[in-house]
Amino acid sequence: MTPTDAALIERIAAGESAALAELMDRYAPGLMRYATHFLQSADDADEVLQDTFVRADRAIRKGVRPEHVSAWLFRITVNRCRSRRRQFWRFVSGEAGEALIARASTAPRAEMTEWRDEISRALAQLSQPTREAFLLKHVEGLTYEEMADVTGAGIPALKMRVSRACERLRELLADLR
Amino acid sequence: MNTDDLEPDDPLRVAVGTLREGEPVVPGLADRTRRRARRQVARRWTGGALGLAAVLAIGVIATRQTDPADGVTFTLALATPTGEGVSLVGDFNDWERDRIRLEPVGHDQWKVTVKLPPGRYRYSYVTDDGTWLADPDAPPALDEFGTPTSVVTVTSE
Repeated sequence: MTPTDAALIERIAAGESAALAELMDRYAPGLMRYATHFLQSADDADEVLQDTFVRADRAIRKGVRPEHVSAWLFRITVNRCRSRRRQFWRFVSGEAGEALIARASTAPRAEMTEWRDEISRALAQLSQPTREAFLLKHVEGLTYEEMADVTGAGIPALKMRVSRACERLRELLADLR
Repeated sequence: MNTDDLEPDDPLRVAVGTLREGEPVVPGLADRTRRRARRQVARRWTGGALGLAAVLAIGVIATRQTDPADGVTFTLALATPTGEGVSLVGDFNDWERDRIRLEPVGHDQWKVTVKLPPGRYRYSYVTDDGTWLADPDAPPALDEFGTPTSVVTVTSE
């Protein structure tokens, strides 16, 4: 029988590293998908995931018992993604940074299909809060209540961000046709 | 997951379907995460060196005896707070704490014997408060994370 999240958490708290690996098997794919689309880099996303699970492991061992493990892990991942973007912006800012991001987001990636590449470029043109809201809502399937818990933003603001993201993406993707 | 908020003919539905395919998790995430945690522990160890002065004041004395029949015996002289102990971690146990515990064998003395096939192994001692200690009596190992690490070589003779 598949162990519940709560059972896994207790085993992690007891120091069983295999339980942490099981938690990763369960949740890492979704977190990886989100982080990759948000950061536009699989390498950066992998770093974020490592950091997420190090922090989760440490918190559990210190007594944290999340009620909703998925939302809790997403909250950590979303914060780590934001932090990674801030680190990036310490090095590049202003127009030079925008140009750098534009080059990076339009650089050809052999492993992606042309269609995926176009979607990736379109996502890169959304603002950070808008991209975050769109990915959590439509790609990860979170409810607005869960999104509010994960992002710290209010539900009306999140609905507006999702709506704007959809409008902008439709425009960008329509240009391709 | 659902796309109920998107109309059936909305081009975004196709885009969302593509995005959901996502990037695969790179194999070995658990190992990379474990190494990352070790690296962060090592940083704390470096930063807390002054706080450890009382413990280290007595010095860390460690020895090993290698016997092909009995295994490698690791001994360590280290004062720890009451009720706390020491683990041996290394290439031979995936660096997982609590799998090999040293046994108290006297006043501030610790010991464990481990059967290891011939080979070269990196290892460290880890106290229950997360302090990593190299074996001062063994060759240091190159460690990309800066963790205090030693080497023991087990031969077949």
